[in-house]
Amino acid sequence: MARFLIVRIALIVVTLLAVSLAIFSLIEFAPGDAATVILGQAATPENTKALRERMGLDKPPYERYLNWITGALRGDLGVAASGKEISGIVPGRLFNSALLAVGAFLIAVPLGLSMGVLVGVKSDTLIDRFLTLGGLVTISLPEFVTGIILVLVFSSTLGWLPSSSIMLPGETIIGNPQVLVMPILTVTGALFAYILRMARANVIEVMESNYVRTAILKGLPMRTVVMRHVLPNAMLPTITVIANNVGWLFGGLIIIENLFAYPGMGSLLIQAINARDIRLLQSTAMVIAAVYAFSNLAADLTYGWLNPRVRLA
Amino acid sequence: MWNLTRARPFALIVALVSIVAFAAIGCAAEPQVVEKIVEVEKQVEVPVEVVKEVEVEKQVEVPVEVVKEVEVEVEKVVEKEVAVEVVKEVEVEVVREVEKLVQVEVTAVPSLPNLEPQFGGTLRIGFLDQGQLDPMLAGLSQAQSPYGEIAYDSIVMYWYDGEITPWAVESWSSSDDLSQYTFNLRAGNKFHNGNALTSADVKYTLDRIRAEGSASPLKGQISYIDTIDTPDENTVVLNLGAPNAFLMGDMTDYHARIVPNGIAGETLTNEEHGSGPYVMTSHNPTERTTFEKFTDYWREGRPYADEVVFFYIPEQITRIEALKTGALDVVPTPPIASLGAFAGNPEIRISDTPSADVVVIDMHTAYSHLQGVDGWEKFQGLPDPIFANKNLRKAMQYAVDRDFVVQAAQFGRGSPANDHPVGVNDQYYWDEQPIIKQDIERAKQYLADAGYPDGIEVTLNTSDIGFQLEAALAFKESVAAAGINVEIATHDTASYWEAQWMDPCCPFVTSNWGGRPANAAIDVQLRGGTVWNESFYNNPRLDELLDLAAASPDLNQRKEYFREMQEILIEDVPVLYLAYSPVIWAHRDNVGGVQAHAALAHWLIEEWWLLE
Repeated sequence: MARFLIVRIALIVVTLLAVSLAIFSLIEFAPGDAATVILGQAATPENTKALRERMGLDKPPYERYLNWITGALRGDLGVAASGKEISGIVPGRLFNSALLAVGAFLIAVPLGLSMGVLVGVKSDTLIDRFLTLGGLVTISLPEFVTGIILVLVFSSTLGWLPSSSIMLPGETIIGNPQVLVMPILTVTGALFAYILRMARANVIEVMESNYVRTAILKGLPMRTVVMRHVLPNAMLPTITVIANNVGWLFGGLIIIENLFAYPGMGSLLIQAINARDIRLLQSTAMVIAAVYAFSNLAADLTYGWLNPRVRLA
Repeated sequence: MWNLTRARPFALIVALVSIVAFAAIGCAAEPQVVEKIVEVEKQVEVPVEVVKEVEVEKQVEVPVEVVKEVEVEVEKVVEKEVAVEVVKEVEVEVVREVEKLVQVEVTAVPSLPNLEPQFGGTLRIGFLDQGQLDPMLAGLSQAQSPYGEIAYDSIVMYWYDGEITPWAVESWSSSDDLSQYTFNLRAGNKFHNGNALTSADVKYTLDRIRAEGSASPLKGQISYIDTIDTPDENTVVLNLGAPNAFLMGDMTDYHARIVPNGIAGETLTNEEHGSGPYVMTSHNPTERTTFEKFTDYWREGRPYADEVVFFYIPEQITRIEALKTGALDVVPTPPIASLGAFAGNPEIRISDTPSADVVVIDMHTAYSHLQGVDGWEKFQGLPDPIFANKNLRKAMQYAVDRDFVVQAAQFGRGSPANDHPVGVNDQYYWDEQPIIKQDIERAKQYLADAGYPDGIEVTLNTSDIGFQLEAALAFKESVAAAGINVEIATHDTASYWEAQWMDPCCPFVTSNWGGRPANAAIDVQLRGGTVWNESFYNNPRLDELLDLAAASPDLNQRKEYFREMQEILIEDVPVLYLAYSPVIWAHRDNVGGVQAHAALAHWLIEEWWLLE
C-alpha cells in the first residue's frame, strides 16, 4: 500500500511538472502578452518595451519558467499583474470553489444514486423513460444555458434568488448562502443526470447476471436481492465514475462561476486569461490540475477499498 | 413483493426532493435589499463653490419623436433585406434588435422625479474588469479611468458640455504666443493623508509621464512640454518648445491625475495615494474595490454618496441581470444588443449621449515614405498597397451607406461620421458639410477608374472590439451593390492591435478610437510619420495646418484651419470614418445625477446620488 501510494504521488508530481510546462508553452505561443493587453491600442513600440521591462516579460522564456517553478516549489507563487500576492488570492478562491463542488456533490450523489437504482430496477417503465430522457436533456444542455434559464426563472421572473454572487464588503458567502443555490443547482443538473445514468446502466447489467437470477429464483424478497446483491456490485463502477468527476467538476466551474460572478477558481482563471496575467494563469491552472490529479488518486483508493479483488497489500 | 420495493425508493425520492426544496426555499432570501441606515448630517446645502450645476432634467427627451424616428429606420432596414439577399441571418438579427429598441425607447426614457440630490448611501457600480491602479498607466480595463477620477484629483476637467472646467487648477493663463502656460492651484487642497497638494506634486505628475522610459500612453501626446517650473507652492509654469493652443485639452486626459511628489510608481500599482473625492478602503482586483467619502474634498457639497463599491464582473449577462434584480445600481456601457433586456422594466433608466468615439476602416495609403525610417522595420522593401490608388479609396467612400452602418452595427444609436475624426460636438466640427451619401453609380465609376471595371474582391480584417465587427459586417452588406465583394477575416481580440492593426498583412482593417479633441485626434491618427498613423497617410499640407492651428491664438482662424483639414481628409479618404458610437450607461431609478459623458474616460461619479 505504501509503495503504491509513493509511486502514485511520484507520478502525480511528474504529471504536474509536465502540465506546468504545457501551460507555460501554450501561453508563450498564444499571441499577445500582458503588456499588449494593458496598453491595447495605446501601445507604441516604446511604451510596450518599457512596460515589458517593468513586468519582467523581456527575459527569455526558459528563465521566466525556471523563476516561476522554483518560486512555486518554495510556496511563492509570485505577484499578479494587479500587484497582489498570488498566494494571498488562491486559497480563498479554492475554498469558495470547494463549497460549490461539495454542495453539488451532497445533492447530486444521493439523489442520482437512489434514482439510478430505482430506474435500473424498474427499467422500461414510465418513470424510467421520464428520468432518463430528462437526464439526457440536462446532460446535453451546456451549463451556461442551464444557468441562464435558472437566472431567468428564479431571479428575473420569480425574484426568489440573487442572479449573481455580488456582495457588499463585509458580507461573506457563508453569511449569504442564498448566492450558492443557483450555481449549485446548475452543477447538480449535469452531475445528477450523469450519476443517474451510470447507476442505472450498472444496475441493469447486474440485474441480468446469473447470481441475481439465482437469488430471485431461490425466493429471496426483491428488497433483499437489491440491497444485498445488486447494490454493492453496481456501486463499484459508479463510485469510480463519481470520484473521477471531481476534476471534471472543477473544469465545469469555470463557466458557472463566471456566469454567476462567483469568486472561485474558475472565475479567477477567466480573469487571468482576459488580462493575459501569465503568473496568475499558471498558478490557477496548476491548482486545478493538482485537484484533478489528487481526486483521481482518491478515486482509485476508494475503488480498492470497496473492491477486495484489486485491494493492494 | 414488488409492491414493497416500489414503495421504498419512491419514499426515498420524495424525502430527498423535499429536502432539496426546503433547502432552496430556506435560502431564498429577498433579492439583496441593502438597508443601510446612514446618518445624513445635513451638510451645508447650496454649495457656494460648485463650479456648475447639473440639470438632471436635461436627460429627458421627447419620447414620441424618438419612437417615430426609430420606427422609420426599422422599415428602412427591412427594405434593405429585400434588396440585398446575402447574409440574411445578420439582417434578420438586426431587424429584431431594432424592434426591441423601439420598446426600450418607450419605456426607458428617463423620468426621474424632480428631486433634490441627496447625501448618503452606498453606490454599487458594475464594471467589466480592473487592472493595475497607477493612473499614469491606465489601460483598457474598464474600471481604471473611473478609479483614477474618484481617488485622485484632476488638473482640469471636461464638463458635460465639453467645456474645460477648473478643477485642482483654479485658473490658468498663457503667454500671447501660446508657448508658456501658468497654472494657479486651488489653495488648501489636501491629499488623503493630510498633506497639502502643491505645485511640486503637479510638476512631478507631468514629469513622471514625460520621463524617459515611461510607459504612459500620454507621454507622446504631451511631448511638446519642454520644462516645468514651480515659482511658488501654488503656481506651475509650463514652458513649451513651440506654441500650442491645445494644452488645456490634453490636461483633461485621464492619465494626468495628480500624484504626490516623489512617490514610486510601484507603490501606486496597488495602493491609493490621491486627493480625490473618495478614499480607497479595500481593493481586490478580481472582485471589488471599496471607497468611502473623503471629508476634506475641496468641492463643497460633493460627493453625494457616502460609499462607492466597484464590482468587477466580466460576464455581460451577469452584469445586466444584477442591475435588473437590484444587486447593482449602475452598469456603464452595457452592450447595445442587450438593451432589449431592459425593455419594459420601469426600474431601469438609460442615459446615452452621442460621443466622438468612432469606428473606422483603415486603408493603407503608402509604405514608400517609411522606407529607411527607424521604427518601421516591418515595412522595409515593401511595394505600396492597392489602396495607394486614391480612386479605390473614393470608391469605398461612396459605396458605403453610413446610415445603414449606424442602424445595423449600433442599433440606430450614435450618428454617421464623415471620414474625419472631428466629433460632432467639437467646436471645430465642419457642420456646413453634409454627411457623405451612398452613391452606387459614383462608386462604380471610381472603381472602374481605379482599374477594377468588373468589381473587386477584398479582405477586411476585423476583431470583436467596440463596434468593429458589427460595422465590418454592415460595411460588407452595403458595398456589395457597387461590385465590391468583401470577405471578413475576424481575428483574436487580445493580439489584434499588435498583429493585424498597422501591419503590412492587413492593408484593409477596422479600428476604433475613443473621442479626442479635434487637434489631438488628427495629430495622433493622421499626422505624417506618427506611431498611430493607422493608414500611413502622409500629407505635408495637413501637418502644416495642424501646426498653424496650434500656434494660432484666434479661434476663428483656428476654425478655418480645421475646416480645411476636414476638407482634405474627405477628399483624400485615408481612413473611412464610418460612425460615431454612443456612450450608454444603464442605472436603476433610485440613482440620480447619472449622465453619460461624451468625453473619453470621463465619469463624474461625484455627481451621482442615491434616493432615500
